[in-house]
Amino acid sequence: MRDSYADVQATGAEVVVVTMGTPEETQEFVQRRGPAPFPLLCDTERASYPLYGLQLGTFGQLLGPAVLSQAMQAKERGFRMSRPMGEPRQMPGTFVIDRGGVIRLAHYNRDAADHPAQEAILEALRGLRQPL
Amino acid sequence: MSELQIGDHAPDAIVTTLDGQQVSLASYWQTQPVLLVFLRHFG
Repeated sequence: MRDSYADVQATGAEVVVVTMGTPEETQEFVQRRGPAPFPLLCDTERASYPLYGLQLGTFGQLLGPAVLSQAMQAKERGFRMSRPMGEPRQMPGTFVIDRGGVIRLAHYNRDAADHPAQEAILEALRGLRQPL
Repeated sequence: MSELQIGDHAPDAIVTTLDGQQVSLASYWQTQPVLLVFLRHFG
C-alpha cells in the first residue's frame, strides 16, 4: 500500500485507513513496521464498517482457495501475515470519496484476497476532475 | 446495511486517531478527495 501511496498522492487525494484495532494495538503495529505516511484511524466498535455496507464474511470468503493461495505466495516471498485485529470475519473494502462527500468508487472485497486494482483506484481519482 | 453505489453520499462516522482523539471521517474529505480503506488486518 505504501508503494502506491505516491501515485495516489499525485492525484491530489489523501489515503485514510480505518482499522478495527485499538489505538494501543495499532501503535504497536506502527512501532514494529514503521510509521505510515497516511492517517491510521481506529474503529474498535466497528461502527463505521456496516455504515459503508461492509458485512461479516463467510468461511469461504475468508479462507477459500483464493485467500489461501495468496497467503502461500506471500509466505514464499517472506511476508508474514499479521493476525486480524478485532472481528476476524469483518470483510474489508475501499472507497474513493470526492470533496463533496460523494462516493466515486466502491470496492467490496468478495473474499479476503480480493483487493481493488491500483489502476481502477487511480482512474477513479483522476476522474474526479469531471463531475459524475 | 446495503452496499454503497457510486453517487451515494459517504456516511460520516466518529473514529479515533492513534493518540486517542475522536475525529469525524467526513473531516478528511472536506479539503481533498480521499481514498478510504477499511482494513481487516495489516497483511
